[in-house]
Amino acid sequence: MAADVEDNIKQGTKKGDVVISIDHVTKTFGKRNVLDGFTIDLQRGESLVVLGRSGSGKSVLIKCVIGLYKTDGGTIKVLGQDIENLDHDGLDAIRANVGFLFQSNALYDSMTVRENLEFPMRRHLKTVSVAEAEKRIVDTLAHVGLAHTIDMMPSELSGGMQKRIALARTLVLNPEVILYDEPTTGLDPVTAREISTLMNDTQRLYNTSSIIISHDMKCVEKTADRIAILMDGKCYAIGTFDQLRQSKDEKISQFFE
Amino acid sequence: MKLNAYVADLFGETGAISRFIARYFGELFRPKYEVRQFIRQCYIIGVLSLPLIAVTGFIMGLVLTMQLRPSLLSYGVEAQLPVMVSLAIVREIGPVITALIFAGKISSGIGAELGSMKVTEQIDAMEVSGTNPFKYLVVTRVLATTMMLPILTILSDTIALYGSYLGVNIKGHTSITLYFFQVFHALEFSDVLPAVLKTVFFGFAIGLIGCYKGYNSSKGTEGVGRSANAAVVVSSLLVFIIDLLTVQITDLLGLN
Ligand SMILES: Nc1ncnc2c1ncn2[C@@H]1O[C@H](COP(=O)(O)OP(=O)(O)OP(=O)(O)O)[C@@H](O)[C@H]1O
Ligand SMILES: [Mg+2]
Repeated sequence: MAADVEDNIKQGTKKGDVVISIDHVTKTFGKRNVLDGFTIDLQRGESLVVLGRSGSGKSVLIKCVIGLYKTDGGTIKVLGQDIENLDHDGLDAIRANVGFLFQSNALYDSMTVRENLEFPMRRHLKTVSVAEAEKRIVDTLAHVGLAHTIDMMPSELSGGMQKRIALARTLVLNPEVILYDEPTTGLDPVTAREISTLMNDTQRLYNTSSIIISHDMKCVEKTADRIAILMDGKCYAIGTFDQLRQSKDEKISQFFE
Repeated sequence: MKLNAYVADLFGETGAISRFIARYFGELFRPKYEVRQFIRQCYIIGVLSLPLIAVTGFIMGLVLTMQLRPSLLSYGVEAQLPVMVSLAIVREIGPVITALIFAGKISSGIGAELGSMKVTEQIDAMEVSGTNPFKYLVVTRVLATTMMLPILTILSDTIALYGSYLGVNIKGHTSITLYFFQVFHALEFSDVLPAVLKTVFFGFAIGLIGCYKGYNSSKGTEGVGRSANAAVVVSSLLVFIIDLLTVQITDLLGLN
């Protein structure tokens, strides 16, 4: 099954332009419809920003994409595979190709930076040799500009550095897609700008496509090819930064003030 | 109204813990074993608890002996001191005190550790890294506490007997050979076995409650603190409840 999925991923992504298709997805917690028919496609090579107020369900949305939450309705296809119909190995194969940068970084605080980067490799790629793994770790850390931290613990790093390590940890697997959950929230403006630049560099160098969740408009302006606005569980509007900024609709313009 | 909510809460929690236990046994026997992680946990949970268990065990034996001496003296059965103390330690005080100290150290530790992993999304991160976090975190820890507590209890009992030997010798003179001869003469298999067996259940409960509270921690650092605290309270209480139940069972089975 895992091998099948991997083959399909390779073929599917060559053929189609759509890497992730989210189609009328609903998700309820208790009585609350957090997602209520949300629909959007992520094109290959694109950076798609999802804007929405706090608590509007942005994190829930991308956690559904990676299968951390089960949807209550609609379909999500990632790299051509319907997430809901995959067995455990199939889901793992998808997850090896989709990086997830958590809002709180989620670095394992009992492990060094090296072990943090090793973990997904050892778990997902059973065939990687020790030397190859080490090379990938060193290269990826160099890409995020933190080669010297390799033997440090996450608690010794600043917030911005932790964010870079968390990005490095998703990049060691060479993912096709990266899902960013508020990558610049809680960082100072300078560091936030550096992270935005790093995201753009990553997109170019690693040929990734990405969904970026953010309400930091500087980061949005810098990284977004398209912007979708999540409101009341639906995709309220979609367009480029300039299109949406010029909108007369108050519900849209409030994000750009 | 308030009572209703409380009762509903209690039943809800009991149901959730039962499902957690069922999941534990489901995952325990399904392959892909996290052997390295299990060994690591045995080290952290078992070996690193040794100093604390040893010190408390020694003091427990010593103090118990010193406290019992006057009473025995007033009945004129001071010579029975080693027998009384060793029976009390092996059958009841050793297992329960060791379990309570273990609960205080380990259950809260696990609760806080898994709780902070939960709220900082490390558990989610494991899951997307191709790892079953329940197997990696919960199964290894619960299995380790279940296996380590009986061993720690036996060690603690033994050290407590040495403490008691010291206590006997503060105001008397007994050779160590004679002391242990008296102790082993008094102890029977039916004293030791049920006492050690119940610590298996203590260990299971302590590990399980720590993991349950941590794994279901609510958001925020406050939630982590609450998980750690609740883990100690609930697992200590469970130690007494299990103790009460096992005493009834061994009684019924005529093992006393
Ligand atoms: N596991 C859960 N159980 C119950 N409710 C949940 C759960 N996860 C999320 N929710 C609810 O779903 C809603 C959306 O949460 P989500 O975390 O997606 O918000 P968000 O848009 O990411 O906000 P923020 O910008 O603060 O991160 C919230 O109201 C939250 O209470
Ligand atoms: Mg969020």
